[in-house]
Amino acid sequence: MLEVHDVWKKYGKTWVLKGVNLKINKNALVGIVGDNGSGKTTLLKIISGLIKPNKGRVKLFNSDIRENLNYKSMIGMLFHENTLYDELTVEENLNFYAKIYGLEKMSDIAAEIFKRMRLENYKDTKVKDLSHGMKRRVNLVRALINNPKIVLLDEPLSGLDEKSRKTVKKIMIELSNEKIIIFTSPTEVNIDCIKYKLINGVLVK
Amino acid sequence: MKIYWLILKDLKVEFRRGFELLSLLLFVLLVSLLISQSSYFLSESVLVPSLFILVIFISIFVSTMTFTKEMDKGTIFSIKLAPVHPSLVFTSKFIFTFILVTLNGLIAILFLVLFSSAYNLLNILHVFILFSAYLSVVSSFSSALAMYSESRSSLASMLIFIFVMPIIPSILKMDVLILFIGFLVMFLTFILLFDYIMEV
Repeated sequence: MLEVHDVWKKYGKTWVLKGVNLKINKNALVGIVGDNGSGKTTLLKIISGLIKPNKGRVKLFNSDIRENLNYKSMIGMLFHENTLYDELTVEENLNFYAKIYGLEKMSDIAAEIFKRMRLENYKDTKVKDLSHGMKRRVNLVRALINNPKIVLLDEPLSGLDEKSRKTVKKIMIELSNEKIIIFTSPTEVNIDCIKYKLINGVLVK
Repeated sequence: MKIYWLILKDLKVEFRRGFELLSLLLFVLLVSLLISQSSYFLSESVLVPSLFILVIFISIFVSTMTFTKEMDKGTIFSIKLAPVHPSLVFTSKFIFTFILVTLNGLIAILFLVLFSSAYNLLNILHVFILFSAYLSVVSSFSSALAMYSESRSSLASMLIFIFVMPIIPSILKMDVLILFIGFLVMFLTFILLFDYIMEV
């Protein structure tokens, strides 16, 4: 289903990724652990097609993501940065993203996560008035807005309180039954998943 | 309909942010007042060129509200990942810029007419609208081109000046045809080039 083949990426003169290989054939929860600056975010952005690798390719359902016109509809990503509009309310943000994905409203799965994340009371709150943890939770819902087949989560547990961390972990495990979930973390996470480490630009199991 | 939601989102965000639009409006009002007063001492012929210079500055101001701001806020990544064709994204920013530039330009014209009784300005409305459209394309593209740079806002301003230079003789001659062709060529060229900018 998803294949990352010999991906190399450099910034300036520094090689961040040195021949990364990853093959996921079925729905699964995959965790990538690595220090800050190890290239975790770069790898996720390459898988999502947001940045081009210097060498190598990413294949989705046996076709290169650059040649697959529908790949954007198949991928959802939680970015490390807040990608919500501060001046819009939570509901307006989610409605906007649903509309630009060509949907009338957010997917059922996103609506369910919205409830489980205890966001209902905040739907009319402007994003700028939310705490960092709350913004992360709304961003997670945004990543699932169109019920994508592949979900990329960049440090999904950072900035969350213990209760929310438990909820997010549980959600990730549940979603992995029907999707490919790839998440990153700077530290080891106590969760049952396929674990990889990104060390010196190489992905090791 | 995606383009409608993109424009609506931009307008909502900017009108709710408020202070930037208010400072732009204040700038327009003060400059209009200064130009109208100077026209009494100098000549009425300074009014039209001054108005066009003012509109260039308005477009520079608005360029900071488009792609450079999306980049500053990080929201450009989710837009890039969404299944929206780059040409739609560019067109939405162009229309958003056009609305703000034209609105502020019209306010400037209104004040110039009120303060200096320069009713002849109303005869060049069509040139002003075309020039605003040209500036909006240039402003949106400059903002997109500069968004990956560390000093994106200042770079975008410089790019706008570079793109405006060739059209200035046509504006001074009020050559509507050249202005229209210039706008069309720039719009089509930039919409094609924008695909590559979004690919980076």
